[in-house]
Amino acid sequence: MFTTFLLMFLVAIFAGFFGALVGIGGGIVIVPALTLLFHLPIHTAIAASIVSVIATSIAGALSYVDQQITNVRLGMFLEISTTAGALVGAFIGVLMHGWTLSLIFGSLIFYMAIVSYRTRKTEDRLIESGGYTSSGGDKLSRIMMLEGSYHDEAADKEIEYHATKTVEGSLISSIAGVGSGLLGIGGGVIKVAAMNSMMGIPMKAAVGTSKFMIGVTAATSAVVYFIAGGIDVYIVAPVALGTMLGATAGSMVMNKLHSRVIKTVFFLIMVYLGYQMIAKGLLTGFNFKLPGLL
Amino acid sequence: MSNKEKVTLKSETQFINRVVAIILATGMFTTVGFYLIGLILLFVKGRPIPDLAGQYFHSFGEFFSYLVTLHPRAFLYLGTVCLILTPVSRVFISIIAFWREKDFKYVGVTVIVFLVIVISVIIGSVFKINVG
Repeated sequence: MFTTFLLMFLVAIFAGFFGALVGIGGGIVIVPALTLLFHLPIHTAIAASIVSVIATSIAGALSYVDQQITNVRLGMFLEISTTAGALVGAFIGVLMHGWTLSLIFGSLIFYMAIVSYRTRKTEDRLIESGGYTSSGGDKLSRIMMLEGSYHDEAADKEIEYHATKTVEGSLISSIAGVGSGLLGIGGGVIKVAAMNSMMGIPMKAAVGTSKFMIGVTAATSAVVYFIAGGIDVYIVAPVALGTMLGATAGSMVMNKLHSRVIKTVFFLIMVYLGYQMIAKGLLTGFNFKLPGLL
Repeated sequence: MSNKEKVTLKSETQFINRVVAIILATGMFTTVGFYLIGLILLFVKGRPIPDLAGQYFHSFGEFFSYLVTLHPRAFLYLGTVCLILTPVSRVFISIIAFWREKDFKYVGVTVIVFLVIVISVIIGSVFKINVG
C-alpha cells in the first residue's frame, strides 16, 4: 500500500508541476495515470482528478497571487462565462452526441495550438518592445478595469497590459466551461488560449489567472461528486498533496522561463489533448480507432 | 483613466490580492494538515477495519465516532471538505472584500459567479449530472 501511495504522490507532483507552468489543472495527466498505472475505474479517477485540480489551483494561485502575476479582476470576470458555460454544458450534453462534441473540441484545441505555436516568438518580442503596454484595450475592458501588470523575471521588466476583444474572450471562456462540464476536460487549456491569443493578455499573466480560475470550476464539479459519494478519500489525499507540492514548485519556476518556452510546452500539451479528443470522437462515433488513444 | 483613479485601482488590487492570498493559504494549510494526520494514522494503523462501505458518512454521529477513534478516514474526509470549500469561500469572501472597497461592479460580478455555483451544485445534485 505504501508503494502505491508513494507512486501516486510522485505522478501527482509531475502533473502539478506542468499544470502550474502552463496554467492548466493537470487532469489530462492524472486521469490516464490513475486508470492506466493504478487500474482505477474511470469514474474514481475523474473524481480524484477533479479534487486534485482544486489542490493545484489553490497552491499555484497562492504563489501567483503573491508574485502579482494573477489578475484577480480578470479572473472573476471570466468566471461568469466559464461557470455559466459549465451549467449550459450539462444541458447540451443531453441533446448532442458525445462524439460530436469530442470532434468539435478536438478541432478547436488543434486550432488554438497552432495559433499558440505561431505566436511563441512574437510574445517575447512584444514583451521586449513594450507592445503589450501600448495596446489600449476595448470599451468593455475599460468599464470592467481589465488591465494589470506583472514583473517578468526572464525579461526583467514590468509588463503592463490591457484586455482587448473582451466579448469574444468571454465567449471562448464559456466554451471552456461547456467542455469541462461535458467532457471532463479542465477548461484551463482553453482559458489560457482565449486570454493569450485573443484578449491580448501576456502568456504569464494568462497562466497565473487561469490557474486561479480553475479552482472554482473544479470545486463546482467536486461538490456534485462529493454529494453523490464518488470521491475516494484514500486516493484523493496522496494525489492532492502531490499536486500541491508540484504546483508550488512549478509556479516558482514559471516566471523565470521565457514565454516562448512556456508556449512550446503549452503547444505540445494542446496537440496531445486535441489528438486524444479527436481519436475519442472517431472511436465512439465511427468505430474508427486511431493509434495511441488512451 | 486619470492618475488618481489609477492609484485607487492599484491599492484596491493589492487589498483584494491580500484577501485572496489569505483565504487560499488558510485553505491550503488546513487541508495539508488534515491530510497529513490522516495519512500518518493510515500508515501507523494500516487501513482500519471496519470502514465505511460507501464514500461518505451518513450522519454526523457516524463521522464523530470515526473522528474520536482517530480513524484515518475522518481526517482525510475533513481535508477533502476543506479543499473543496476553499475556492467557494474565496468567491464568497471576495464579495465582501469588493463591497468594502465600494467596487460595486465587481460585487455584482462576484455575486453572479457565486449564484451560478450554487445553482450548478443544486442542479447537479438533484439530477445526478456533472455540471462543473
